[in-house]
Amino acid sequence: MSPAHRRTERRWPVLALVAVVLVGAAAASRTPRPSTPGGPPNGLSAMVSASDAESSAWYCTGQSTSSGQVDPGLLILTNSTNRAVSGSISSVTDSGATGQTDVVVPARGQLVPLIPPLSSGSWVSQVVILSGGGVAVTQAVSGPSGWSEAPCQSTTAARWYFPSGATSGSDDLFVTLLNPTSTADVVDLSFVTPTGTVHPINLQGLVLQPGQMLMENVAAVVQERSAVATTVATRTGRVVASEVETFTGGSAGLSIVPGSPRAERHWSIPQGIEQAGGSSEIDVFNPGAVSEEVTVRARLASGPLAPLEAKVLPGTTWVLATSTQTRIPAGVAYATDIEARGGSGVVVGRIVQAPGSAPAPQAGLANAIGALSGAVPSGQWVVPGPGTAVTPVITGAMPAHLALSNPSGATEHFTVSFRTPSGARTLATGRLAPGTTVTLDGATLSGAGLNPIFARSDGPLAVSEDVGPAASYGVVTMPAIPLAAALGI
Amino acid sequence: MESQAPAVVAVVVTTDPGPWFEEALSSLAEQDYGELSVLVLATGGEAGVAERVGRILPDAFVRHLPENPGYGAAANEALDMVEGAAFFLLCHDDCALDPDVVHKLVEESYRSNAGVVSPKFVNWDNPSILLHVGMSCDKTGAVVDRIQDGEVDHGQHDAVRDVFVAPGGCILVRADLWRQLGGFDPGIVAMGEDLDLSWRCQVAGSRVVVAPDARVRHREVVAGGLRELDVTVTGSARHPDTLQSLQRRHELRAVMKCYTWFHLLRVLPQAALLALGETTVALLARDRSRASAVAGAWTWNARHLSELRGLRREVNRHRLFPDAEVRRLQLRGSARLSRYLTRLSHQGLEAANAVVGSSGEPGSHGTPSEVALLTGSVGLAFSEDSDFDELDDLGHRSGRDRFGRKVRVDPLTTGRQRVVALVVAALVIMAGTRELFFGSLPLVGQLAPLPAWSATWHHFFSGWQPAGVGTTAPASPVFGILGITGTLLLGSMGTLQKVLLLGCIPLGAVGLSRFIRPLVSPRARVVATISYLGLPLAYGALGTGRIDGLVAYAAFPFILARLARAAGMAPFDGIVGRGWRSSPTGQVAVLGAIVAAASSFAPAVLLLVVLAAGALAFGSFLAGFGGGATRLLAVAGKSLVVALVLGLPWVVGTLWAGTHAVDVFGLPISPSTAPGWGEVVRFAIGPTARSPVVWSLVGASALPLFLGKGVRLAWATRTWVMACASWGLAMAASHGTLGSFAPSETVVLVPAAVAVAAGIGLGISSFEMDLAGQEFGWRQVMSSLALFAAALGLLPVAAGAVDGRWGLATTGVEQPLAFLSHPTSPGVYRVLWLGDPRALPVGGWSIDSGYSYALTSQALPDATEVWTPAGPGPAASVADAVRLATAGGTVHLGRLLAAAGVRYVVVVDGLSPTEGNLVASVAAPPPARLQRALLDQNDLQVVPGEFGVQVYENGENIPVTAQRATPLAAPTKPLSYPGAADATGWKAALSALSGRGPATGTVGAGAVYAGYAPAGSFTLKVSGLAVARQAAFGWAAEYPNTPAGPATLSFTRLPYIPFLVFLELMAWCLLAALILGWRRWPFRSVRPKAER
Repeated sequence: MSPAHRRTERRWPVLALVAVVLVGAAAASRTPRPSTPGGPPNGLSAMVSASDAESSAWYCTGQSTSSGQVDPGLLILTNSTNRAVSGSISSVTDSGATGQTDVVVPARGQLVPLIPPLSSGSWVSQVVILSGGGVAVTQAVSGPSGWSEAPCQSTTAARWYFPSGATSGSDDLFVTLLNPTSTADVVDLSFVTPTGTVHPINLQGLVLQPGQMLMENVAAVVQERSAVATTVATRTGRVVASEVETFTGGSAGLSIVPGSPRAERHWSIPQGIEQAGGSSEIDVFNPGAVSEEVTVRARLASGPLAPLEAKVLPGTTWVLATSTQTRIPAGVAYATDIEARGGSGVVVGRIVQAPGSAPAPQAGLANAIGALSGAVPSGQWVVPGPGTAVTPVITGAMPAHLALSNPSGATEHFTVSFRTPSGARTLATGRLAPGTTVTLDGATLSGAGLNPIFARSDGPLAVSEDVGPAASYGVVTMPAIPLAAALGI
Repeated sequence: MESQAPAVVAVVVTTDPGPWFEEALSSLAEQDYGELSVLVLATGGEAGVAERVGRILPDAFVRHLPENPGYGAAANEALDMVEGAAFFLLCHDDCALDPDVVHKLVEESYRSNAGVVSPKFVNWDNPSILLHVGMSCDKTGAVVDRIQDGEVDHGQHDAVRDVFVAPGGCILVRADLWRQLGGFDPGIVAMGEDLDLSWRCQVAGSRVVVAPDARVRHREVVAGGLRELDVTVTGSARHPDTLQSLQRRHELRAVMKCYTWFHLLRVLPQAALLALGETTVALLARDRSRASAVAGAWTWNARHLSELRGLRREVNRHRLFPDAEVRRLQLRGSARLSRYLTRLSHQGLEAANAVVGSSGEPGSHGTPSEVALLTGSVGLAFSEDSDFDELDDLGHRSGRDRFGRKVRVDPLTTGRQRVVALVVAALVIMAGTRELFFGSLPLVGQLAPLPAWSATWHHFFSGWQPAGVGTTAPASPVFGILGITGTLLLGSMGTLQKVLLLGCIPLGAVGLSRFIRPLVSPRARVVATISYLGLPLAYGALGTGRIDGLVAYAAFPFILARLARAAGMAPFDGIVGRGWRSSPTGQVAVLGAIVAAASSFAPAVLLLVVLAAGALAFGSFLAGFGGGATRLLAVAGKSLVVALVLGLPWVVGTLWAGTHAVDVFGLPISPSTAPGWGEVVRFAIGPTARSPVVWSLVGASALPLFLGKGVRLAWATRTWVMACASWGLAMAASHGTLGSFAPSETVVLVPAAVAVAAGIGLGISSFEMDLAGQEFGWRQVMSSLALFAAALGLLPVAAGAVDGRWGLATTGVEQPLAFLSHPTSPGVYRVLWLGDPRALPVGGWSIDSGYSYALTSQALPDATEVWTPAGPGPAASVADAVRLATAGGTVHLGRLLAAAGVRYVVVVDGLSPTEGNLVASVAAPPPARLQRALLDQNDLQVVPGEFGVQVYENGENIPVTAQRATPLAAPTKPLSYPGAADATGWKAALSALSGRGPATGTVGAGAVYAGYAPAGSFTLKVSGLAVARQAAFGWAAEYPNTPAGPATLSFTRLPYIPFLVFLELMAWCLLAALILGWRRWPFRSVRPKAER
């Protein structure tokens, strides 16, 4: 008889152990799996690369080379770091003319480089290559009907969505494309209007060679549409796309907006106001393949309003005329949150048209701020100033309002400051309750002058700045650009 | 009254008879048969035979034959000498007949109308022991006894029956028949004449029967070794024939004589195939005598073909029965193969390959069972069969016992059933691997083609490896093993790779069978083995191209068995071995050698030893058998030391890599695509057999925890603890819980697979032994359910065999990347591979979880790039650059990679190129941000048209060896990247550098760049003169003032690594010699435990 037979069987300890291990491991495996860290999140069209980056690039497209509907514009390079960053700006026109300008962006300063005009072409794009990170690049356009400022794009993408636009009356809508990569692209453009989706045959299979830019006048192929949502899709490769809208009716205006590279489920418009005699709308574009249940929640300083809801079918746009909503009082600033459920999300924009009697510009369009942009790990955003003291975007350009909205469910601490080459100064600091908005008015912002304004928060934040001169909130809006966290590599 | 009995002449052939002769003659004298005459034929000299015969049989005729022509030829003399006899009784001189033998044989001849009648042979000294009761043979002439060796005569075989062979000691043959056939075949001098005569008798239409009532004692002086063969008869003194060789040649002679052409053409190739297999096995088992006998049988008969033609004509002249009729009495299949497999299954490899002494006598160990080898008896093979008595007179199974009752046979209780079950399992596996065996292997996982055998040796001994940007770390011992085996296979490295890949699965089954043998019954052992084969783990490893997983699958059961045996765990402590390898030191050394060999391919096997030892020790404690835990851990520790010493150069090189050392066990995969807990537990890690049905197999293995008692419960506890540890480690490693320590799950899960298979075996044994006598209850119900579940759980793997390749892709990255082997521009470049570590077809290093990289030369990779050193060395700067790009920290990745000579960046999308919307069953995608990051690089250009991979060409590459007019701007900065000015203007300069030779070429005056590390170990000579060197980018070399002329860049370093590798090889050889017993001094052989 072996020793085993002389002992008492100990059966239950091992059964218990096995049960504990199997069940415990099964329970542990149900916890969310961590995702691979590092890198900017997909879906942000603009993000200031980390200050310790080896190099960075910005792509600006949508400026004109000569006066007309759109005058030649400006690039504004904003350095958030404490060291000067050198770089080069390569320009290319739609006729293929190219040029290069070397630049050095001063530490904590802004630069509006003087870019020599190119010999030919009507539209121009720039590729800004910087030998370091921490620099934001924005572009400004102006013209007889108004002016606008918007971030350039820090990434290429295979898809770009533009939720807003109009070709009614004499309004014009231009889509500009740039291929900054070393691979040829094949691009299709499609447009969603209230009467359906349009795939103009001559805007299908557009070939962009490496370094080539292209402008397409949408009004020529999609005529007399009060709402036009645009999708730029590449068959191969990745591009950069921007939209330029000119309003030339009773309310004049000029807007340049970068595309959104992806749909999101949460969007914010930190500040808005309904003016008597004016109109405004929120365009909710569903580029996905399934319907979205969309809820629009407007919130006054005194509290939230009853939400507005709609089912947005795939490939359609919900044009919510906020100015006709009786629940939104005129003349009172409000913030708006947009939430989509059911699919991969929507893209949201806004068109504002002030009364024609208001100071120019009276009309403008802008993108809402996506949740991705509001929830960057660094918790920092920068709002570049509208030019420099020497070279303002337009005469008298100044920040008018800066709105910070807390889209999260927790109270956050925020700090708003501005930086000059000689140092930094805090403009405001405080706590932001969930779902609330704080607005810094022009008087508060005047201390910053045209210097870049930085916002810092310990949680998600949607930040946008209305820049004057403009007739109303939302006519010239500059969204804050998130800053990437230091790489530490 | 005149007698009516037919006349019988007893023909006794004798050669130098021994003292038993008188007793044999006396038995003839005492026969109660009146018409018996005796003719004694004395061969090879008189030696007083006549006197000795005369004293006992004064009426006998004695004839002296001056030469010894052999037994058959001598007996044939009676044909000329005797007239009028009705029967001949052909006797050896060492047979003693009972007094009634002759009359009973004659009587039976008439009653059965038999031409040949054989008595029952019993042992000379102990008549209760049976020797023969007739014999049979298979189609190849392998003679098979119908009884077990040493079987006691209880009258169990006392029925008259037809047999195929009448054993040659004493045969009664009808005189007319014998005369018609021309007697014995005179060409058969010894061994096999009885087979030949019996066969020819049956061809001529006569029956051969055994009459067990007639009993003959047989001394078997020749087969028993009491009388040596007469070399004048059997061959030269220098090369004497053995009984075995005579037996084999005469069996083949009978086959070639007695079949018709049709059957001969059918049987002879089968016999040749079996002979080839037997020779191979015999050579592997170092049984040269057997190999020589088998091979010699064919050459001998080939030399006698002309003689055979005449003999065939003679046989056909008397043919009355067709082969189909004659063959009814033959055994089906191959008796020797059946016996070998059964012995292998029941007693293990050593017993199956038991060596027979060259003289033909019982082997050096003298076990009687080995005598059976001479006849190829299947008796031994079926010795464990409960149904031996079910064999009818023809050796067939009737389904009824000898009393006519229907026999109920439990599944797998007979050896034949078990062999059939194993054969079926083998066929399923062969079917599942058919396309892999006959087709080419895709470039997937670790299936890169092996280099030529000479290149493998060079790589093993080289002091420099091209891995990354170059390293002096010693090569993995795997190249030594591949070099040795490749050399033995005469350089057939393709075959070696397939043997390595496909041989692991059956080898693992053999290992599992050996491991579990002491623990369970033969039936449970077979079921456990099939269960091990039926788990998806090995096929998952195969389908993902993981050689490390397959090697671990094959080796771990052996490791576990050796560990238990060396630690003296019951019941492994009862296993007795031979030689130095059975000593405590030897056992540790054998275990260490197995671990070393396996860990060469799969370094994580080292962890498995620790895991197994720890789990077994804890399991022992849990089960209340914790006494030997310390010994177990000590043995494991010692074996690990042996394994590490056997790979010491590589081990030191690995440890030198610092924190990267753990990378040798495996690279972390992405937690988001790692298998879930359910997939881990049911081993669903590959593209095939992923069905949840496998859960039932796992569940069935828990049976012994509920039913087992004693040693079965103890081992069930140990194995389940081991399984839990294995699953837990696999889960933690694959989900990033352990950080960068991420041993491959295909390896780590092997202990769990062994535990599940062992649990099923232990469960069956518990059912057989621990439930005996218990009343019907839940245990019986649970047992039935478990058996059903186990059977059910095998179905997914059986279904997975349908595609013939276990889900392994038909093509790998070799197709989309074929252009790498055809460079369009001169120069030496590198390829940077990025992707999930499971997807990369080369070895590499980790950037992040699920994100690894590798650098190879610009060509499709081979196996030297699969087993890479633990540390990347200066290639780590490449990882930093990629990490920077992925994080959005650069748009100049191409420039950052330029120093390493990277021309192409290849991102592998998955395990293999998938088509259309087919979803890969094993997801191993690259990081989501990688593509965007690479597309955002200003200097990388997409190479269009490649499927399954993303390829980018670096627009700012510098050839690995390059030259330009001006030197680098800031060459000495440590670990820096090229600036814009550094990466332009370079032209390719020299040929490729490898471990086999220097880089050569002609350079012009200016600066020469060499992207090989470590830069200090290379010397550039131009026109025979060394050129001054300075560091570039912290790891490469720049020769800023190089004159024009023929240049050579060579590795110049003291060859201490080749020397250390040589010592390593010698250590392997020494250990192999000790283990194989080629040199025992100064160790004493170890006696069996019983003797001690």
